[in-house]
Amino acid sequence: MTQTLPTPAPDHSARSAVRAVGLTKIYGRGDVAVHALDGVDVTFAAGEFTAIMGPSGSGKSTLMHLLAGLDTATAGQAWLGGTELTSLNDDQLTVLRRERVGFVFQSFNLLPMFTAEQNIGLPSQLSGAKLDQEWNDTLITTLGLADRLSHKPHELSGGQQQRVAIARALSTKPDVVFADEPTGNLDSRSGTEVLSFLRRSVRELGQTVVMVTHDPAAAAYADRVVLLADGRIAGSISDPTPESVLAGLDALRQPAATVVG
Amino acid sequence: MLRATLDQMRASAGRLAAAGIAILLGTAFVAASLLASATMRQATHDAFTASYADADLVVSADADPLTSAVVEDIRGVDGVHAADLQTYFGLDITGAGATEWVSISPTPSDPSLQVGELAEGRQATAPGEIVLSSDVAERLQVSVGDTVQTSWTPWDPDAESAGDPQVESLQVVGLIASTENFFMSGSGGQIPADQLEEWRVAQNGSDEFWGSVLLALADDADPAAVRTAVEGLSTVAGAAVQTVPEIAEQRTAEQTGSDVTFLVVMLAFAAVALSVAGLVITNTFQVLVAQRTRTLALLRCVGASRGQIRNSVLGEAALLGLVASTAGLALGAGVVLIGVRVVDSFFPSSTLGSAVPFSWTVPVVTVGVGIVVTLLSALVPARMATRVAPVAALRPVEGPSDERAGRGRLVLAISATVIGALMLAGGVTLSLSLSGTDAADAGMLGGLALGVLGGLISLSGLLIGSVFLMPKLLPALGRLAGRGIPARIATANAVRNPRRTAATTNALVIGVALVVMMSTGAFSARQTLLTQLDEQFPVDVAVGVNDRSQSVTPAQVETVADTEGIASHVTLRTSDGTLDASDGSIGVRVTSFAEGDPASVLRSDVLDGLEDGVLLLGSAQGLTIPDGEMLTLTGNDGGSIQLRVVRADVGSYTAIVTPAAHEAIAPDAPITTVWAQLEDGSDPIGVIAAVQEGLNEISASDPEAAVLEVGGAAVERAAFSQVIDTLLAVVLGLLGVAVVIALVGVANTLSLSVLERRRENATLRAIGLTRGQLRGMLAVEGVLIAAVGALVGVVAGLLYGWAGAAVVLGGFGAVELGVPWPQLGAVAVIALVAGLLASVLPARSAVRQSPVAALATD
Repeated sequence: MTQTLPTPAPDHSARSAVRAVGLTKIYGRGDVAVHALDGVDVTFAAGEFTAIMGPSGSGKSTLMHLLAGLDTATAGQAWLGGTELTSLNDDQLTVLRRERVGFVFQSFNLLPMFTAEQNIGLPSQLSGAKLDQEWNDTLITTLGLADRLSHKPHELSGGQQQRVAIARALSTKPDVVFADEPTGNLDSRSGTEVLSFLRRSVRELGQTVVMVTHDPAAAAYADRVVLLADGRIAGSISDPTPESVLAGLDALRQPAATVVG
Repeated sequence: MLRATLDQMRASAGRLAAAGIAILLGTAFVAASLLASATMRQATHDAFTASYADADLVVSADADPLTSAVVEDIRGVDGVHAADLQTYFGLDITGAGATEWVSISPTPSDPSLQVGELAEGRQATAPGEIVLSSDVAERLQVSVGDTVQTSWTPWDPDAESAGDPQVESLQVVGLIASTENFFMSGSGGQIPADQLEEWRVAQNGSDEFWGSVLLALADDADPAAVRTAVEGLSTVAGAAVQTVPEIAEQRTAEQTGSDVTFLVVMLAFAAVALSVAGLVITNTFQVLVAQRTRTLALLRCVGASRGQIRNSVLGEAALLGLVASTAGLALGAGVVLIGVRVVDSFFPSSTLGSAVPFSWTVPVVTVGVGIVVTLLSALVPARMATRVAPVAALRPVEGPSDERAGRGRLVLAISATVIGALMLAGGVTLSLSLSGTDAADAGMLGGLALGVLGGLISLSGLLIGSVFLMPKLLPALGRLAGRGIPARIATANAVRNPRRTAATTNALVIGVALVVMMSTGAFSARQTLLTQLDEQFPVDVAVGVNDRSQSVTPAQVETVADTEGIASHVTLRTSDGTLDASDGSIGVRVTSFAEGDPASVLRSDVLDGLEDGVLLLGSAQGLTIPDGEMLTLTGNDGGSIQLRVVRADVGSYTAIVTPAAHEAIAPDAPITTVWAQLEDGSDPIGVIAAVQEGLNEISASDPEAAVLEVGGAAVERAAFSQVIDTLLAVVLGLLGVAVVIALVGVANTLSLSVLERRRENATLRAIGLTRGQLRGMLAVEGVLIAAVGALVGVVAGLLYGWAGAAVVLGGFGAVELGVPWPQLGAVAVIALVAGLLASVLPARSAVRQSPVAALATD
């Protein structure tokens, strides 16, 4: 354990949307225990587009699930704004996700029996809140969905479906949107389109986006890239380019290869 | 492959158990029907056998009657050890407590010809002695050593009326144990054979009889030779000579018509239960195949052929069928054995318990039917399994896309429904239009046949068309569940796979439609027939003298009126009178009301035409007396009065007049009858028993008081209602099994939905659906499916019930169609609660599913 001990994170909660302190997730016990996350300290600033990158098994999905309140941590704390997630029960977490978190999935995950419009309205209907019509119109215009609202998912292309999913994620003006490999199931053109929308939602609409990806080109759309390896934060790259991200990833692989070898 | 099959079965034990229960219940039905029917047949056979005691041969009157001389002739045949007449002689026997009409038989000349066992005392061997069956003795309240009065009337060809009764005192010297067999022989006692012969000949005016002669052979006799010798007797000509097994075979076969009907009805119920079970099994196996898509694909990847996959599914079905129907066999046999015990314990004379036969037919048929039904139901899922492509192992599991049903199916469904409905209507019309004519019976049967066929065709149409109907009905019902998003998602989910939803609801539709049809039919039948009873028996309780020279005393009237449960009463006076019509005169019973308001006891309007100067006349044979004719009514003491005749349904040879008119012709007419009406809701049997008891007390303290007969429609009405209710309860119980099976199906369908929608549900959980909302969503889906099935079933059942009641009851007059609200309410509540319950287990597994695991792209 040569890693430095986690120091108490400086309090800049006014600027931080999501924060992890000593976040640890262990699957299994005893000999078969797997440290998916091993004391992660990280802060994602509000109004920023951050990408989490790392090799397979580095724990990037686990980190996202814990920060989004989808899974429970073994130790440590996760904060969403001023709310500490690890102390919440399942119903409280559900309400928190419903009102303050947005999700964009790799395989879109729209409800097939509902139209695009109904899918977008789902989170606010779940909470019984009135849809902010002006905001909704802004989203639909920005995402270019105006003439697709009455279509059902199977009548939409992959890129269109993902745009509907983004509109759904942003519809409640969440504190943060988590995007899990949002371009994984898209061709490169649609992927580029989706990434541009995510960046616009941050730059123009003031949203906060945390994206998990393994594609350096996708990560280059972010303001900052957080690198993860073996369940620990391994570094961060500001104003990334595909080249700088690749270089960062290569640097990570060296020690990993040694371990495996 | 077998190993793989067994491993898979073990892994899905829970779900298979649910399907197994469906088959178990269905096959239990088959086993119970077959066994109960065989038991009834065996019991009938045993009873016939026992009614001939240990006789070796029986000579029965066949073409011609036998005569008394036959016994002596037979006794004279070489090798005959003993021979007895088996004749019956009916007479009134009065004991300490009561009088009863009893049919008695002669004392056997040999113990081997004794039917039933002597329980106490000895045989009646000398004139003046009698042996009674123990139940008759109990009712008459006599025991060995007591004396009873016997009374019978000899036949006198010259007498204008019945002769004087022959009354004798006999001493009870023994009791015969009453058994069902003894009861079946029809004998309630025995007197010496010679005396019985003498009385019998005197009562009949002839020594001919239609009974039989029982023969016991000597130990060393050759049965065949004796039989030939007996058949050769002149007195036996025209009679049948048979061994007891031959007779029992023949008589049982004659009796079996009703047994076959019973078996057919029971098997029809079993068929309903099995068809519903079949639908459920198809659904279950579809769930299993869907669940194992990946495993099946892997098997295909490593080289399993389509045939092997299909055989694996079918093998699983066969094994399930075998296990479940074996359990069903045990359950069905158990039910019959317990039922037989219960019957035997309620009726001490019943010996059904010893009549439960063993044959290989019952287990073989039951298990065979169970396996075949399970296999047939698994055919479609098996084909589905063979369609799983090997590459499916490499793809994420996705729910099946919507399958749209074809236009041909729609046309077939609509035409079957319409044609069936028309046939049903035709059946009703045929029966109603012919009712009241000579062809009423034929019309009823024809209408019934047409109606049943039409019902089956239209129900098939409905079931075929439910793929189209249910997706239309579900959203409408779903709106009732509320506007909340869980309810909306549930409604949308329920119509996503129309075929599966239709199959699930069909199982329920069949069960519910039949339950409602039977309830509605029984309800209408009861309404209609109670109205009929009101008209035919307008009086609840009628207490009257048998001998019209006697009268009802005021104390007796008071006793009736004061009995708890009697609401109101009237007294009636009766005298004999003569009515002079243009084509002759007839004797009538002149009746008028003495005290009380007739309207307060009558349930019909039969007396509405009664007023001064009017005579209500019932039927009178031989005379044609039209309505409105003026006739002279003469009393038995000479007074006469002119009255206008109004024909009314008041009983044959009965003439009802006003008290004033009666006063004019027979001022001394005695009170002979009390009519009373029961309070609503009182127990008729209890009230009548109380009336009888009160009257018995008066008889005990006042020997002069006339013995009164207590009758009236109250008991019949109650008995009638009870019979219908009991039958209905049994039928509903039987059909309820089908509903239970169908609800297992709802649970299975929901499980499949949960399985297929793992990712969707996980998404919903991620974006903010709470566990409670997820549970609620599945509950709404379950309730919706159950409710739509129940709704369609209720509507269809009501229509079928009404049509059936109209066809069958049309001949009895106006049919009152009713809605059995309590039963409908029960069906609705059961369906809703069961739909809710059906969602519990699937919801539990859905809620346990972590959203993270389900979202992981695999």
